[in-house]
Amino acid sequence: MKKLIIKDMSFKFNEQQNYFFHTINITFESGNTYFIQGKNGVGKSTLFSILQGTAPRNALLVGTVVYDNKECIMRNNCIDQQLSSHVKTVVQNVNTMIVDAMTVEENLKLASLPMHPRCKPLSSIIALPAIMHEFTIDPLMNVEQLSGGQKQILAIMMALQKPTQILLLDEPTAALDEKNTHMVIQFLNTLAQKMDLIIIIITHDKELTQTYAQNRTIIIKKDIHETRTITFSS
Amino acid sequence: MVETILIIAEQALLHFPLILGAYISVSLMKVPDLSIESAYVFGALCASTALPFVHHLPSIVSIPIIICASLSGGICVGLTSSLLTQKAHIPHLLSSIITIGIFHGVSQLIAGVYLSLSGYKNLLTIEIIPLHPELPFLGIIFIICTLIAIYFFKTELGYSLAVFGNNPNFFANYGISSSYIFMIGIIIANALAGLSGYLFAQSNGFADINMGFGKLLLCVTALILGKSIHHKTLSVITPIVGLFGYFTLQQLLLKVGFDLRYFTAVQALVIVIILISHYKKNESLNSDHLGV
Repeated sequence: MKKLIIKDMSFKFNEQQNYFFHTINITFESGNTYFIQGKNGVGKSTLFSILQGTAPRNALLVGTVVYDNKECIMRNNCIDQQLSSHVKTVVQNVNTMIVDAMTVEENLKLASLPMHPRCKPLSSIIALPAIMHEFTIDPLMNVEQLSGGQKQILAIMMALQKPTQILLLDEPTAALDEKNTHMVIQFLNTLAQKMDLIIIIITHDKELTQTYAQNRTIIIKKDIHETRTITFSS
Repeated sequence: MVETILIIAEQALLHFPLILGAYISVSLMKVPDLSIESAYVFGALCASTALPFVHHLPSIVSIPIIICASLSGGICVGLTSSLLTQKAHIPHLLSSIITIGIFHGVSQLIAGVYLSLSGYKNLLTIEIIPLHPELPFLGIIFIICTLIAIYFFKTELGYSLAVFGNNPNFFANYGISSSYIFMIGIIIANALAGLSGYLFAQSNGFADINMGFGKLLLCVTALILGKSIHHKTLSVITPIVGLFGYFTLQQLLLKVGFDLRYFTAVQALVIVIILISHYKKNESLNSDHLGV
């Protein structure tokens, strides 16, 4: 089991501003799905951008990030590329992550393209079409025919086409009904276990975190001195 | 009848590289690539300028040199417009208008208004078909371009161009360079237009700086025609069907005594009729899917 440990991390955009979050300590373990809750502007997305290595360069960030017992070097607010290159994000609007005029299989292949695509045939799929089969997604289906939940699952699978250890999702169920929400969360749980991933989800949906209580919920609060992390475990 | 078919074939094959280029930029990438007209002229002028130096060489040497010259002319135009878009952050419609302005001036500087090729050997001539000596050579170019296109549309880059048209934000999510794809697509499209410009100039015996006028309308009409007959993403059949459909329509109108001076109006009407009929039928094809 691998652990991602965030130690005494504080963040603010500049000297004059109050802290977004102050001395937070969170431990994530692989094979699990975590939910992050908090009001708008408490720094949930900022935490994601720190893990991706895209936090603003001129902001004030202190603290350490330890992954798999190795401390990640922070330079100019960017964590070591060795870790950030294994962090993948699924954005809130998944339509920007998929090509609806093409098939599921083509989409999966496109997600693994290199930075500069070459004049050679598309590579074959490396990730798990078997998991997708469990969720009745046929690789030859056109993406336009997929439901909202299936599109979300496809976007997650596409994000995983390149080597990934930590998967971040920004409100993946915001636009989904109950049935699709259940399908996506179930999929994420299966994925975390099968691929030994750390999955972190931002959500505003309290019902969601209560329903899926076997997962852990981290609530970040803005007030500088009272910022604390609360963990519900199963 | 045979003569009409040969004329249609000749006209279509002369324009084939151009329509393939427009298919890539206008249809797949859905970019308003006006500079393709400029590339058409500049490719023709570059090849025509190089012709006096190589026309006496054996065909096996002179033809590749001239084709490279015409492609380079197109590449210069494509590179200029795509650099203006990607590096100077000018919207592509504007940057292609600026590019047209730049290359109109450069063309005048290189070639004046008009370059005659009548004094040199016609490199396209292979005397097999009487009255249409260029047709076999154009056929060879057509086959080579088609085979390359069939392969290209199955590659990473080919798919990327279609993805660019469908969802330009796609690449940012996966660490793929969107500006690289844009530039490569526009450069290929313009290079092909340059080649087509040379074929047209060589066939007519002259290159002039206004020969590109109306070519984009031709491309758009042919592509919309092609897509309404054969709608499939990343298929070389779409531009081919559109191109032959376009010149068949032109020849039919000529047969019934239509004055081709008014043909641009017919082209515009064809576009309007196809688009409106698709809206009326409420088909899944919308104007975006038709690709303009």
